[in-house]
Amino acid sequence: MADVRKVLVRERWLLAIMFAALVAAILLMADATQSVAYFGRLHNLLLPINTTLLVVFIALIVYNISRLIGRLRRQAPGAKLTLRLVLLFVLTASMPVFIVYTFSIWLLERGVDSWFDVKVESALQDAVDLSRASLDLHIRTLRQQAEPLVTEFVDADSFNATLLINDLLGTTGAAEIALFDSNNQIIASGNAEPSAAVPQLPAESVLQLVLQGESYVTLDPTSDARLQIRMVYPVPSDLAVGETRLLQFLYPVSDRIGNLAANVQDAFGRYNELIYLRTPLKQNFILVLTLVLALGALFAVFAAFYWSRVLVAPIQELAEGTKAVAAGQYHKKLPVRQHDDLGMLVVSFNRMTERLTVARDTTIINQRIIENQRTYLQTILEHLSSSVMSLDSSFALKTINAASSEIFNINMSQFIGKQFVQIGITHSFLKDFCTLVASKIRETTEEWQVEMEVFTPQGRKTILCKTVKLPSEEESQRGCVLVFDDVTTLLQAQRDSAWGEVARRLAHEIKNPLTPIQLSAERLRRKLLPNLAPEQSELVDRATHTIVQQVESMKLMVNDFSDYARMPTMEPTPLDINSLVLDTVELYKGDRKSVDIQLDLDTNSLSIRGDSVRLRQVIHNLIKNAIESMPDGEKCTLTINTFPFEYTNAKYAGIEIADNGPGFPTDVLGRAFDPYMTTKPKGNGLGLAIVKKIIEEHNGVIRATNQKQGGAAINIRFPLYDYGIKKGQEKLRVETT
Amino acid sequence: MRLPFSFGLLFIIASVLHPSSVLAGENITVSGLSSKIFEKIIRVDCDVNYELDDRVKEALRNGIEMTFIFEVEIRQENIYWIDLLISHFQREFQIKYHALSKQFVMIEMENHKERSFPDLYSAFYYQHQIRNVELANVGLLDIEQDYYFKARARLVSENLPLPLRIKSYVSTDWRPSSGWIKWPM
Repeated sequence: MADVRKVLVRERWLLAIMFAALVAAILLMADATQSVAYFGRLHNLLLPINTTLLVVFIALIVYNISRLIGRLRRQAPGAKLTLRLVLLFVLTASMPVFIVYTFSIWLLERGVDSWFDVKVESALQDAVDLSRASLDLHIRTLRQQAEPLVTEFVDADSFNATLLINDLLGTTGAAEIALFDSNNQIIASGNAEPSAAVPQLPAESVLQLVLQGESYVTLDPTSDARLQIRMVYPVPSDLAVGETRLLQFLYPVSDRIGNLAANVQDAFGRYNELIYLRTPLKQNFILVLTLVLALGALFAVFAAFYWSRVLVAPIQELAEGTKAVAAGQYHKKLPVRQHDDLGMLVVSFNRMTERLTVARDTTIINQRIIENQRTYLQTILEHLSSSVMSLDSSFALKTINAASSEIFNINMSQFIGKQFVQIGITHSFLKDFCTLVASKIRETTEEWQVEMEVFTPQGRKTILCKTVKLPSEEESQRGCVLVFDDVTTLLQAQRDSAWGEVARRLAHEIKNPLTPIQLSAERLRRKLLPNLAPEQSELVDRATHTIVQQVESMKLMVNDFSDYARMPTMEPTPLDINSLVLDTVELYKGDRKSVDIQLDLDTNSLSIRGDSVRLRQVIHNLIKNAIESMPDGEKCTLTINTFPFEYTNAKYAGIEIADNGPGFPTDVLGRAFDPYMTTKPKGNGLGLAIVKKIIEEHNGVIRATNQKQGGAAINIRFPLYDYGIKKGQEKLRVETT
Repeated sequence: MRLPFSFGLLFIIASVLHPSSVLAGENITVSGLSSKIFEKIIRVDCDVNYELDDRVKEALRNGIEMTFIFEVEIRQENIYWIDLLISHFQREFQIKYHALSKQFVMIEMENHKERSFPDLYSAFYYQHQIRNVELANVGLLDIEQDYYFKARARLVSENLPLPLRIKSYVSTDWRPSSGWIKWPM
């Protein structure tokens, strides 16, 4: 923009110089029109000056036009306005220039013509005619005097002719008399002035005329601006043919008549010349006027370009400033160069950019705060165990957190932007769940909460679902937030806790009266049995036996309850799972009829921290449970597998015990570890519940599944304490059979 | 851009001043140049025919003074540079109309002699024959070099009155000239 200013300053000087040159040319022109002679003197100066100026103006205008075209093509700010202003200025300047030009031409035509007065022309012509008439009269007198003298020269030889001429010079008043032949050779001559030079003989055409017998009489101008009368007569001769001679008389015109005639000739000659030059002169004046007006018009065009740029420059600055602001340069400031309306506009622009800058900075700060909060919330959401999903107003999935995928063990991110029910369509086990949730969202405007059971490939899960509507004036901000919690474990823990309490109370309330009941029954049997008749004795025996037996049975059950309800007093020590499994399996080596145990143990030691006694009980319970689950007469084949594995950067030791039994019924599978959940006729349903309790006491996880090939499988994971490679040891495979 | 415009402007001016300027007919011719050496002086004879345009003749009859000039030169040929001028001769005469006497007055500028003629033909015929023009001494010439004569007759347009002078800038009718005619020596 500074360049534009520099150019404008430079052009201002150029404009001033060109204006001065134009004024000088016009003044010169005005001065030149004072007279034709002066115009003639100045003409040599006017024409090159005007032509040079013309060329310079044309060059400047062409340069400006090409620059404007370039700016229009580039769609530079202010270019179109400059074009409009230039056209406006040129149009405004053209009209008066045209009027002045037309008027000037008209004035010039009339003005120049007025110099040539018809009366003056007529008077001069009359003066010439009068002079001629006067001189003709004088000539006629002289002719009457001279013509008779010609005969005297007939047959006169050179000598006689010279004598005759000398006589005639004295009597006739002639200035010069000459006799010459047809070849213009002088035969004899004489002059009133003895010092006079050779006589002036007539021109060739006169000679030819006179030789044909005609006389030639005329008025001749002389070199001293005077007049003389020339008379040439043929002189007849008696000599041979072709010897015709010519006699020439030169008579002077009197000084008075000569002076008057010279004045008339001079005035008439000048006037005649002027009349002849009138038309070319007008054409010249018109040419110069056209040049000057063309210069004026071109100067106006050039000035139009300059003033358009001057007017457009602040607007151009504003346009460029606005462009910069539109491009995000809010710090843009424009220099206030003038204090007019445009200056005020520039000041307002600067204020606007200041405010925009402040607003932009504030927005950036707010955005950062919001971004931080968003990141903070995102971090929280990502680490929540609850699934948090947001739906838009059309129930399409907008956002999810990591737990959303983990809860259902599916990739939820693929459903972003899709309808919520699409999850149920893709994953059929979620169809009912999704349909229910979607209908609840649609139908209910208030917050709601519902607990649902979902049967997933990983087992039955209890999902607590909460929904919050997101009211907003903006359509894009409306929707709802869904929060899913997998409360399966929580509910299980609550159930476990409740069952533990029940077991503890049962153990406490039932165990105490059992011993007196048993003792009383045995006393009755001992006291009454010997004293009773055989039939009665058999009845008492059977009844007391049943009481004792049932009390024993109840004691066992109470002991189991007691075990289940007992608070853990675990003393964890590092132990190898492989050794633990081997020790436990060792007990079943003698029972080959009912169980066949195959071991597939990891070659390395899988060390965990735990209570070896209670963990042996776990393995024992699981083996026993597998054997008891088998139908009568069928042999149980067990496979025990130990292995290490990693999950979410944590290392675990795993044990899998799989059997060839009927497996868990589907409806029981999710609650296999609940107390009193059993499918066996004689089971009390506490075996797996105790197993799970012990595993959880060791911070482990237990899961029951059915194998594809049949049979149940129990998977246990413990946090790995140490994992060591035993050199030279292959993976241990042991078959107890 | 500027050059065509300038030419266009000149064309317009020429058209305004003299719409028929392109119809040039008569002109001045120089012919029959011959040379001789007399008393070791190279002398030249030639004929000049002044055929002028009617407008020029009309201007003369309307009292416009006109100056004509005849020039003849000896030049040495130079293939690398401008030919070297050895000798130059010019004869200048003025012609004007005397309205009162109806005569054309011719003034020879070299001796300011005046002669009157009843018509233009007679006047120009008087200047028709150029005889015995002494150009240079033979001693000035080098026999090894090539020389030639160059002659021209023209109207001196610079001496015309201003309006006609401007016309002469754009119209050849108003600056009649034979152009330089060359003859080998």
